[in-house]
Amino acid sequence: MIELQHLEKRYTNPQTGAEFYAVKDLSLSFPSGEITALLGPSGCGKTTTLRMINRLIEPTGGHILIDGQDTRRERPEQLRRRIGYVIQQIGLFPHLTVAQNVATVPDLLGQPKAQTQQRVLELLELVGLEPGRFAQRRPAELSGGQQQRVGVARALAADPPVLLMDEPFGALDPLARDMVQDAFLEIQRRLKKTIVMVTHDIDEALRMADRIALMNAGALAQFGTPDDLVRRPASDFVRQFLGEDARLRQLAGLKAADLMQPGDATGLPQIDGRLNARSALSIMLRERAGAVAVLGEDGQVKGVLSWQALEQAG
Amino acid sequence: MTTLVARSRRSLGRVLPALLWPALLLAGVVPGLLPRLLAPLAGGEVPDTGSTPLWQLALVHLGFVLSAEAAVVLLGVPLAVAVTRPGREALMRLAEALTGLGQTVPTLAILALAVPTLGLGVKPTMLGLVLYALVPVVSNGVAGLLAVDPALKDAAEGMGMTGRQRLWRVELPLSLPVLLAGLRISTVYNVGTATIGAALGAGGLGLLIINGLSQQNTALVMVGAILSALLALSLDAVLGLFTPPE
Amino acid sequence: MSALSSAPAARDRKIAVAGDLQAVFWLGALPMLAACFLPWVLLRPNRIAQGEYLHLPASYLALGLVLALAVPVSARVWPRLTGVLASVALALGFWWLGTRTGAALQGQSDLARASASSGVWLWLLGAGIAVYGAGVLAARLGAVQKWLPWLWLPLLLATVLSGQLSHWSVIRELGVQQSRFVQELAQHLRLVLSALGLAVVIGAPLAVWASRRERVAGTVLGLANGIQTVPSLALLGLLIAPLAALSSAFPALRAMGISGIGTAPALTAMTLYALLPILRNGVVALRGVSPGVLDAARGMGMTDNQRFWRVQLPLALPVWLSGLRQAAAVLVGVASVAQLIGAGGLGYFIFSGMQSGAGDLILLGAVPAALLAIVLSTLLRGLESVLARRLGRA
Repeated sequence: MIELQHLEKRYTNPQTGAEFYAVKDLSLSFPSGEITALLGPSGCGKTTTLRMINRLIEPTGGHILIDGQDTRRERPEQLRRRIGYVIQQIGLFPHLTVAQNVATVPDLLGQPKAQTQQRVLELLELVGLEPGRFAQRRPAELSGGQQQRVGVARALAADPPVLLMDEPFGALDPLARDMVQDAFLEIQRRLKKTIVMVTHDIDEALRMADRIALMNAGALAQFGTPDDLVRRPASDFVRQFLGEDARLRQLAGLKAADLMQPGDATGLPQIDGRLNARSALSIMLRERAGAVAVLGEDGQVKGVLSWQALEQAG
Repeated sequence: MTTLVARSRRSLGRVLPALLWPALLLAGVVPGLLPRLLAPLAGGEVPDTGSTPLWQLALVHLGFVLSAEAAVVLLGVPLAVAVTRPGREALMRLAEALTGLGQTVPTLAILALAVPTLGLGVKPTMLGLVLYALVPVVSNGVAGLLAVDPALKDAAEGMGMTGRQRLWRVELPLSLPVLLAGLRISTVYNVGTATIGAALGAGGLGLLIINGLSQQNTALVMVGAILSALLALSLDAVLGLFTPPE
Repeated sequence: MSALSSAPAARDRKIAVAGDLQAVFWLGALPMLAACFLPWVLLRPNRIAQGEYLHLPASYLALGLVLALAVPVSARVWPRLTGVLASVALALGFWWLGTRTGAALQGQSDLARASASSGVWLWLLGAGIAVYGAGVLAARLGAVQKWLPWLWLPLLLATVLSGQLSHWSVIRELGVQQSRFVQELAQHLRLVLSALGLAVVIGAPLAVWASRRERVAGTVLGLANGIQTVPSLALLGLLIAPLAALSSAFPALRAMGISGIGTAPALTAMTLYALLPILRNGVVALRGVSPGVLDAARGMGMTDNQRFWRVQLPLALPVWLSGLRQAAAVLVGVASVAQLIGAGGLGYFIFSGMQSGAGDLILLGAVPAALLAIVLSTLLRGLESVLARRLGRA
């Protein structure tokens, strides 16, 4: 659990002496084992907040506690080695192999080489890169999606309880982004890390986050589950930022197969269970049907997705 | 497949000069060979290259250049590192201004300016060599360190590397090619500076040129000129093996 | 006074100088402090004799120490004053050189020489760094203060024009050799400018031609690179034999003054030397023009010629000019060596000074050569930035 208490970052313009708050009196706690998205327009202070957690930026006021311990009580380097860090630019070291990149933090921590080597292979496997093919390659030989998988493996190498991610999938093309996001959610389901993820992409936040902290002008606009924000926006800003189609966007993050219920599928239009709920909705509208039959991968009907189920979900 | 062929052709283009020029240089310092070849220029008379054998002059020359380079690595690289640490922008700009100035001021002027204080001979030549060699090493070092992607530095810092670890594990390895290119430029240039150093009485291959000019012996001038040119071309080609193509 | 100045001082404290600039000022203060304790003048009974070193008198020393410390301290407490102090320190270095050499020569014979010693050079170095720092500081402070760090220029000019420096040995030497100095300086300039002109006339069309052909560009640049690798003195020497052969084979050439030594080989070598920067930057600049812009020009119906003169060349010019600047700096240097093959120039003073062991004579050649290189490249850099700004590239 990460707690921010009255966190503040103030900048002073050296020429005019004017003060500017990038983050002002922010109190928030990120629950353990969940993904929390820091969402907001550019300049809202979300990245500053993230970088204050691993002290890449030093706060000018307030406290940050990780599992009850103030982050200022140890050296920043020690702190950072216990916190995974993934950035948009990926930042793989081009002069090192994939394996050496992943091994960076264990090496910094002085862990035994043999153990690290084993761990690197496991991690590459975990992020879906075949170790035999990828371990000895250079980052420049990989695609963007593969690079960010390595980036995630590198952040997980020392098994940190906390992971900070700064627009981790922002630089990937839409197709690669979907795949890496899926893979990442799959990993998170197994590892249950405490993850703070900065994003300005509403779809990404709705799709991946267990909780969203929506920020505006250095302060918290609303903190809650994606459902809370979509259904019960705390202010006009929240409503406007998420947009009128927020519920539709939310449906886009859900799979038809996850929402279906057992029922009578005769005469209903049929859809692939891997389609998202938003696509299912548009098929219902096109076919003027109140429900669709959901097919499994074997082409057999597995269940029924009804209008009511969509309404409850989105 | 085609890239493989292209790559091997390119590397051949780099290896060949690195073999050819040193081979010619070695042939050139064989006692008596080059002077005899150039004898027609002096009306058939074999030019007198003095009591010191040519290979020894070439070694002295090389010694000047390499010892200056060693001093430059010890001085210039730490300097480039020091001024590129964060929060030292003004110092970095000062270093850039000073190296720019050093690049502008003529070699001979630098050598000559040192003479009133250091006297003639090896001392002012070494000072000139070191100062001159410092310029490309510092400016390339600074450029190389600045060119390291900020995202990489951010990633390294975020992973918990200390300043020193970032320098040794990330910044220096990544800026090494640019730094080596600077070292190559300064080495080659210093072969020329050391030639001029002969005018200050420092010895080396320039001695043949200076003596030839004062004795109006074209053949002797040519011996010195050809050997120093070959030395410069050899060093350029050999060091070129260690630097990436432009 | 204190009541009046407290308000701006309080405001200044807020804009107090960042640590990096503070370090620059201390870097300048150190040589200045050292200079106060080092000899300023070397007095010799004649220009090549052994001499004695003279230090600053106590009152000068005290003022020097105060001034050296005042620059970094003022940067902390009242940054607006720093530019003035640094400028005064720089000009004062020259002024003191004048008064100290004048005082040293009092009662000495006409042959006696008073040269600048290590103290002067260190002081000027430190003050120069301080002025540089003040320039950066002024840029950070904003528009009004910008000219203050340039105050040293009129002060220095006044020092020179007032004849204050006339006792300094180098100026004495200049007085003795005035006509020769003018002649060699002119020859130096003539060599540099003709070689630069020739290199542009040959190099510019070559660069345009090469920039359109991948393979030609590679060959031409490789060749020019190879020439640049050859030491300048060696190149001068290598050209003696072929030019001597040419002039003996063709009497007409000999009548034109072309021979193995003198101006002809010097100009040839210098032109070859200047070709590389002009070619390289030309090719890089012409190729660096964005293809989108050229495509747009073609799309608007420009002919190839119009496209080159109206779009490609203007856009490439600033980068190309920086090649010209590099060439000019290299040429000033090669021209100083050209004296060795009898081409004259400022190298004359440097080499005759070294032969006779007269340090002042060396300075008479080396200092103007260094200044010439700096002035030339400053002028060309100015032209570059004006052009770049005009063309919206700055």
